[in-house]
Amino acid sequence: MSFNVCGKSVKENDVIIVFMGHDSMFPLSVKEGEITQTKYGAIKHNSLLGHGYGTKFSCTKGWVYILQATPELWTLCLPHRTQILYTADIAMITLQLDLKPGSVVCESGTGSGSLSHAILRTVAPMGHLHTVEFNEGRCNKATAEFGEHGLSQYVTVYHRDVINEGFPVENAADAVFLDIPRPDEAVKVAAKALKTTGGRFCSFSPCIEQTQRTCATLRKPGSGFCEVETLELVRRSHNVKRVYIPIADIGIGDSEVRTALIKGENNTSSVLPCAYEAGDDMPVGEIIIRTTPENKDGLSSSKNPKRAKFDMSSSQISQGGGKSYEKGKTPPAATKYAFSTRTCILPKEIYGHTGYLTFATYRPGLSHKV
Amino acid sequence: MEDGIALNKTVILQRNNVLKAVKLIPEKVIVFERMRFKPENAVGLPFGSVFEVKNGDLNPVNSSLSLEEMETAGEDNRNLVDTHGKSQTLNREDLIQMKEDGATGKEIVQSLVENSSSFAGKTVFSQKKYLKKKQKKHLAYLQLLKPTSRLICKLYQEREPAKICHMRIDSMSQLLTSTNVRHGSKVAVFETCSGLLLGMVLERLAGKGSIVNLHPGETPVNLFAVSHFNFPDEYWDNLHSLPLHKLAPLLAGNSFQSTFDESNKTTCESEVPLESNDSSTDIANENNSKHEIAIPVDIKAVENLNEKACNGPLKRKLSLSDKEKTAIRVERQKKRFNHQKAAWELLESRNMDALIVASRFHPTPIVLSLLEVLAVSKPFAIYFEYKEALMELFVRLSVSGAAINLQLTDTFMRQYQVLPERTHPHVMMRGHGGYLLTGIKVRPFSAQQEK
Repeated sequence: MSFNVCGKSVKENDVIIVFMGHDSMFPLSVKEGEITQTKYGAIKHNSLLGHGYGTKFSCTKGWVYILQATPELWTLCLPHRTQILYTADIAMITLQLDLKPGSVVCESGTGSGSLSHAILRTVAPMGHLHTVEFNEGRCNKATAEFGEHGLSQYVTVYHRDVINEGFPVENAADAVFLDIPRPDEAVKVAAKALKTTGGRFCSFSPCIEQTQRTCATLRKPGSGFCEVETLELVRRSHNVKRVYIPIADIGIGDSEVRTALIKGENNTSSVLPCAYEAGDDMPVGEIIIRTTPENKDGLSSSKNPKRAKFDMSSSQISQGGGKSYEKGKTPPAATKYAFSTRTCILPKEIYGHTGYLTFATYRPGLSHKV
Repeated sequence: MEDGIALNKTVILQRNNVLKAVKLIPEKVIVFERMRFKPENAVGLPFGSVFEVKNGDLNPVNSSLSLEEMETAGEDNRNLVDTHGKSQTLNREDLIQMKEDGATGKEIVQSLVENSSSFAGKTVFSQKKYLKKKQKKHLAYLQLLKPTSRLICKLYQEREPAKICHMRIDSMSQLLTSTNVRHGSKVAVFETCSGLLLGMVLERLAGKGSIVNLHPGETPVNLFAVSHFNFPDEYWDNLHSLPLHKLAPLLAGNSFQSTFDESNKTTCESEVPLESNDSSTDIANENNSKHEIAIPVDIKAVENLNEKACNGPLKRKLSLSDKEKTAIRVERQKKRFNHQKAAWELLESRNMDALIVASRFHPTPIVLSLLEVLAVSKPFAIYFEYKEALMELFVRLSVSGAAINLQLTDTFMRQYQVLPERTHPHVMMRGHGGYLLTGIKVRPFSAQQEK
């Protein structure tokens, strides 16, 4: 029931999220007497009952966090029956479709229900979602899921082909969302479902050809649609880490490096201009001196290598306390000095493309965009 | 909300992708894009109607704005000679003369086409481009739209990005989605985005639930954009404002009464006490009233608040007697005091459903304090223009163990021109949309063990 009403602690039949790490979580429907196996050992549902949300739960071989289900967490761990929509697109769709409590929305196809849950969160309790799916199995599974999540009263799932049979309602929707193979052929039925006083339309297509056909259909005179816009979102999650950039030996001694690296003293040095903000003596990162080889041998066995920090100037801010909580390498061994700074970088592989979002306003009987 | 354009409501004006929010006040001349007009003629028409400005009035236009396809057009630009502006025989004076003679925008564009020696040699595409450019300039058309979150976001993003901390529409949308804001949520918000976020959250609460608006300074100056949404009065009842600097006393366990008494002593020494012969005998209320007038306030925000506090359209200030003014002020102060109290109580229960921060201030101290009032297992989302501050906060939070599922993200948003044979991303687009840090509050392991 946790999608709809939330208690402070786990109750029977709650759908909870078992959080084991960023990329490792799963939903769980709590049933008395059942046991679920995880990589950290077994979770006995009986001992989950009454457990506080947002706190750690000890399994036999470790611990996990027990979280309340939200549409966003659901998106991250739902059982995939199709390709699904992710948070950045969902957020944009919700805003661009002018959704708010009370909105009536038509959606096709239901797919795995990722967007449906987010729509329901926003339009409930006064609004309603009519969601159409042409695959019978997915349709039944979605219906069961909405029931399990306590959302049945806000959503109706229909098994039909939207292009041939249209949406189940006419002149009733504030917004229509399409995520189907041939969206251009459903523009007409979308217009029929929308209120004659106007509404918003969105079509999600992974391919540009579909998008082109959809835009052309939307722009046809007499379609009733205007303000056609297409956009694409790529949401990127950064890793925060500390990096060490070795400083090459250019044949000067310690004290000279010190002078060279700290701009100031006679204001002539520009060995490492990148390390400073213009006109600022404060390093953006910090210059550290490598530990001596003897020390290094001792460190290699230690998990938390100590660094002898070169005390550059009294004004320098000591950062972070030197803890190894950030992802990052230990200083490279090749050079004596290294420039150290906190940065964030993108993972090696990211989603470079999800789909093109085409939005339009339905305003029949009124002239085109100014 | 009733449909159709009405007086004393805010509408969004649109012309050539330029947006402006204005309140339609009877007989008041609106200036927009060098057009001047009175709103009366638009009343009762549906939102989205197109108007032409003529003689200071709005005239509904029904024709489609795309001009008929030209008969003659070149194949490509091999015969096009770059004449550096000499192909047009009409000059500025001619155009001004035409306008004075009462020519419509359409006629002007038509004669520009006729007097252009190069127009016929252009390809259909560039003819269209030329027409679009000239229409933009000479047609005094505009559209009146219904204010929605989407349009108000767009308006601020295009016109006044600095007032919303350069947040782009994708960041705004994600702030609301990632914090699971919905009907009935209790949301803590700290923003310096002119009230845009408050408005968006209020829209999603739709009259149930509450916002605690923590604001810098003494009075909420960040309510201006909220007034664009045309919210019914009961929506405003859910918006409780409290100065951010009251947060530390609150978290230290001080009572509301003692905190506000304390601040009165320090900030209200110089001002004249309010001579209210009103029936308000509540001591705390009076204290609070004093507290209010000592502070320089943002006129717009107060006007706005004033209006809402009075529960009805604000009469012209001039027509009010001093006594009435005082009564209104006392009423307003009483309301604000009640809201502050409500905000205090909500925060004191440390059971907020969501936390949203989007400001020009460094987020770390704000977020670390505000996390205290968020219930466990609830989401938070922080926007900041620069990633460095969020990187710092990210590390602090991951070390503290008070949050999981931490994600520092930005979004690459690309808009497309989708036309037959001419599909490509827009040539110019917003380069920067800011960064988001999202996560879920949990009880740190150590705290749990103590329990």
